[in-house]
Amino acid sequence: MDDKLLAKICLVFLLINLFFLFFYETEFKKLSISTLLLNENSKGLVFGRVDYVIKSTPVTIFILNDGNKSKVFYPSTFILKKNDFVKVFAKSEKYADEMELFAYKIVLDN
Amino acid sequence: MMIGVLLGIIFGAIAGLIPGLHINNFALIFQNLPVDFDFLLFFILSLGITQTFLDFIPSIFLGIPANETYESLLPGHRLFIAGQGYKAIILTVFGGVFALIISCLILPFFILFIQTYKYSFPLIIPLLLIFTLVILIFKKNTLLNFFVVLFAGYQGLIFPDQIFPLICGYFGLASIIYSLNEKNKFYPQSYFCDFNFTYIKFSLIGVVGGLIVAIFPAIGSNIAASIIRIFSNAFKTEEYLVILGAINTANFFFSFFVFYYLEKARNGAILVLMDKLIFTENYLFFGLIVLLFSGFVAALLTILIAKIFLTNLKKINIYKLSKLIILFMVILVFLFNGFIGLITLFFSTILGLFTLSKNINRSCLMASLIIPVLFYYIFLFI
Repeated sequence: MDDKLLAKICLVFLLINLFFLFFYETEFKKLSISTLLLNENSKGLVFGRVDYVIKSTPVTIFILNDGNKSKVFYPSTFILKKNDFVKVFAKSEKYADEMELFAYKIVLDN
Repeated sequence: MMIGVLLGIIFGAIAGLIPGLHINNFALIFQNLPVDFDFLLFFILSLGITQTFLDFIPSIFLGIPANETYESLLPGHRLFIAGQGYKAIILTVFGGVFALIISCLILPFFILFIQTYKYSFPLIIPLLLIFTLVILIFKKNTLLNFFVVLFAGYQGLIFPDQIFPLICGYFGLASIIYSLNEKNKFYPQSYFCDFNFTYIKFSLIGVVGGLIVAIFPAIGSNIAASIIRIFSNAFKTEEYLVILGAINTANFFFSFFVFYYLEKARNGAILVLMDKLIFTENYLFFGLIVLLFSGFVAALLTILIAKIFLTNLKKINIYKLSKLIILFMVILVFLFNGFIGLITLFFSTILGLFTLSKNINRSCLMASLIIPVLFYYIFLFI
């Protein structure tokens, strides 16, 4: 084996991975609550204001408002107050026949 | 996303080629810029994996050590003197390339392993480190080894966070000062590079080393390489370089998955993602693809840059270059570590010269890293 063969091996694997890279799409595009809740299991990045905090610990449940409202569930403690502006990386899920948002991540956007 | 990957490769190459610069510096700069999470993730992954390849070029061609690759200084320099500096670089690239392929294949087992045994990891490390120290001391020249271990360990404790000046002094400055009497010695270099494909098994050894480094906190590639180096009589110089290349690359590769599954960052660049990473399978999969793509690009870049280096090496007066490198190292230490760094450099150089003059096993100098880590674990259990 020599450096030329090694370079050829690198080139082959590089091209294989480049092919896969072309299939990449941003997982969390900026969307509104109404668009997100249209289809179950769709993902998006939602900007909104906290209308009401139902629970902060051990899980976080709050109402998010971006013109439309939705209940948001985040499986960890996150301290939020009314009127906080947040970015939520969310997925729409059906719970008890109602579409709600499951948050992967919440970022304060004040 | 591709812009993030390409920028990561460029900055990773810069960080690898310029001694003293580290991916952590660039990661910290970029995390404060208003960039998307996707960009930051793929930038950091490609930045980190690229540096693991390019890092060996200044170590082997110029004798300037980096935190993760200084173990390559001695075997790399041995080949450089024999006119095979280019081969030394290619061997580290070979190690890294096959580390990527092997790591990819064993990844599902690795994930299963860390999820099953994550609570028993802190118990194993102190035993491993004590074993290493015992082996270091009881090689030939036991008494001298013991004193070097003692002094190096002491330096590691009184100069915390001074890893760069310590290794610069032990392995960089000491070697260069010691070789200054070889005035105008030019080592003709060859482009010829032929080796056995069976070296892939040493890449596997390196992957195991990199895996250990990625899992256990406070153990760096340098310590893992030093532990392997204790048994280095079992490995030829070429084989050891393959192992080093593999450890470095596998360490960064697995550190992303340790971060994803255990939410523990093992290096500064990944730490930047701590509050930002969203744990979805999509990011996991494309994180893997970016690591592989950037790694193979970095491997090709390293081969190309090594050739360019080699072509221009003939024009360089090695004696003058050595003095310039000494000055460069001192300036770098001062810039990154200040006056404390210079003091550390002074004492570590003295100890490095002492080990060279008495022909003591230079792995003993690793005690400067091992003993502080041992203390960390002792206090963890108290």
